[in-house]
Amino acid sequence: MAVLELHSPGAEVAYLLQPNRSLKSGQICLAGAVIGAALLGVTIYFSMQGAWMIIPFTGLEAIVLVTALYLQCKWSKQQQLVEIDDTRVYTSIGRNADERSSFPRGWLKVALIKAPCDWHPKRLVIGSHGRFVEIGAFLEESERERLAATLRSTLQ
Amino acid sequence: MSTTTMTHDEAHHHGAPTGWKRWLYSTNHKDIGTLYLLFALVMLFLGGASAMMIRAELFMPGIQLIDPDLYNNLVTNHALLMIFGAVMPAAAGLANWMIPLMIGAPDMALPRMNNLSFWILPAAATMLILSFVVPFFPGGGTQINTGWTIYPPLSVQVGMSMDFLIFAIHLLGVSSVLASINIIVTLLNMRAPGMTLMKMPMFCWTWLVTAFLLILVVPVLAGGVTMLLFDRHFGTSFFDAAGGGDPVLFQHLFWFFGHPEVYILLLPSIGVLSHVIPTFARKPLFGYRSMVGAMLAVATIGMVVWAHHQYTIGMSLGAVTYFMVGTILISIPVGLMVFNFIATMWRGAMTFETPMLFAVGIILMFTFGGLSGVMLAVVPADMQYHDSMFVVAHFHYVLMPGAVFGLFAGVFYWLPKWTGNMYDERLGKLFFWINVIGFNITFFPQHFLGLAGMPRRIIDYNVMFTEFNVLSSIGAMIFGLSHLLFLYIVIQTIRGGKSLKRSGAKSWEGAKGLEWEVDSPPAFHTWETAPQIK
Repeated sequence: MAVLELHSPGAEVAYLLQPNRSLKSGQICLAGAVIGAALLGVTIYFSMQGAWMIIPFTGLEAIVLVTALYLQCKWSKQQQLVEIDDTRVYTSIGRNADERSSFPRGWLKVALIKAPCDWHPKRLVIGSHGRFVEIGAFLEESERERLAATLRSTLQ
Repeated sequence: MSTTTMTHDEAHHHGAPTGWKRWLYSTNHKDIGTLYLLFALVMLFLGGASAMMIRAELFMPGIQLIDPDLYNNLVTNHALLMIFGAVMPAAAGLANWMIPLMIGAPDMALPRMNNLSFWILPAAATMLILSFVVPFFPGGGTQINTGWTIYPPLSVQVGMSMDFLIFAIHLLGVSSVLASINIIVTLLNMRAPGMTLMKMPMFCWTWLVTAFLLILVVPVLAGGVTMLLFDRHFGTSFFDAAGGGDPVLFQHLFWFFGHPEVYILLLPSIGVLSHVIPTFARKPLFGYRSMVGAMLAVATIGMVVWAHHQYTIGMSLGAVTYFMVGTILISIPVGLMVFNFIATMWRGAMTFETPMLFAVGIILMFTFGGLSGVMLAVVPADMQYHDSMFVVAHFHYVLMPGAVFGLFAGVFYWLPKWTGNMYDERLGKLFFWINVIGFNITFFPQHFLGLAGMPRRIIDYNVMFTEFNVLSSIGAMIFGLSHLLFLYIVIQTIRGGKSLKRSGAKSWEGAKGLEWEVDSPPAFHTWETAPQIK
């Protein structure tokens, strides 16, 4: 996980939130392709020997593997930007700022909402006038708490 | 600006949940690792009990304690419990505990799937135990007298216990595949910034390769046993020669899984050794890159030499020659690993704590098992040794030191990290010596029994084999009972107390790696902020 403090032009301070990832998407695809190719080779070889019943098992396994890699890839590509200037706070969600919101700085609420069950993580939301945006859902609990504290102290 | 005020509870660190739900619903890698290890310990004792019953029966010639079908069922169950119940879950337990700590990740990549992979195991174990118990009930059919290889046509003929076994294998396979996918995704994408693949700890490398192997071979076994199920109940003839099928096909399917399974059991322990030996020799691992290369070579060659288990089925000369040469080739990368370990120890400032004793024991005894493996790889020799007690001695010399002793080394090495307490070193060493001596008394004489012609999987034997069998059975009792001492050491270390030293973050002076930078025992959540690796 990472919360990076950036010096964004025009903003007093900006925080970039993104999960840690050690492979690029292309490399993950390559790893998936290598495993898939080996699995396909095994499937073809044994199917030709008459053991075609391994096909559903290798197929199911390939689906689970690809889904796991895809989900992990998608999860690790998340990105959120919180920019704070003198009067407003801007949030951008997604690599291409797919969802952008802005709030008046003076009215901004930073809230850590407790989940109904103790084991579930708290949710960090910021917003004002009944309009809130969740940020840092992919962060670890302590990181989320630290981010909330940092935002509060910056906004004071 | 206004902000909500956090209560004390909200501000407090997200700690460990309590009660039984903590374990049932756990998504925490350390808790799931602990569950795996405890499960493996229970299975170790069940599998060990069946082994001791086998050796008790073989103490003298003739049939004394159990009937032949039950004897064969015990042989089957011993293998399945030990391989699928004890060794694989124990290695998965080490992986769950250590991989996130070693790579600086907060948890496994898919924590809920991690929970599922573990909780499938008790269901599978129940199926496995039912396969043993069912024949004792009216209408329960015959015992599984096939051995763990469950070759047809015999496996098509036995009673409903075989169906329980087939479903147990399916469940175990699902659990292994899910765990493997989780490990692959974690190792590929959750390493700390700066930790390239070639900076990854060796234990993680061994698990990456193991997970790849599991993914490639488990579906083949699943397909094979499903075909067996269809032959048993749905009128197909996949393995029935009378219906146009081929019983030998099952052997190929089984051993395509079964031979890489040896490396699946072995590699995690090689990973443990790659940490234990440098720690106690106080030198970095010799030849990290060549170790990685050797491991990949072992896995690759190991995938394509399965039929050396089937030399006697009547393959073509070209096929047996290929499988013989391929099998002998494996000794090169395996030898490289062993030489790397020896070179790591060479001129090191060595001390011999329990994990290191196990490591040295592994090198000696596993090499011995490897040498008898080369003997078995040679086709004309194997024609003589096939299905004899020599094979039993060989694979126990490979798998006990290669897999189980490696796991013991890992448990003793990381137990202070997990519990925060240093185990009683005196008892640890005592356990090592009793264990190793018991092991050698049990299995060394079996080489001579096999060479003299005693077949395996037979309840009775010729009186000329009595002396060595008596010796082997005495050794087995020593070996088996020594594990009670292991259990005592583990419980004592978990409970702690005044007699035991507390362990600091770094339990061993020579230990290196991220896992030694977190507290002992580690907090419920670790590496929430990924460390930077230079």
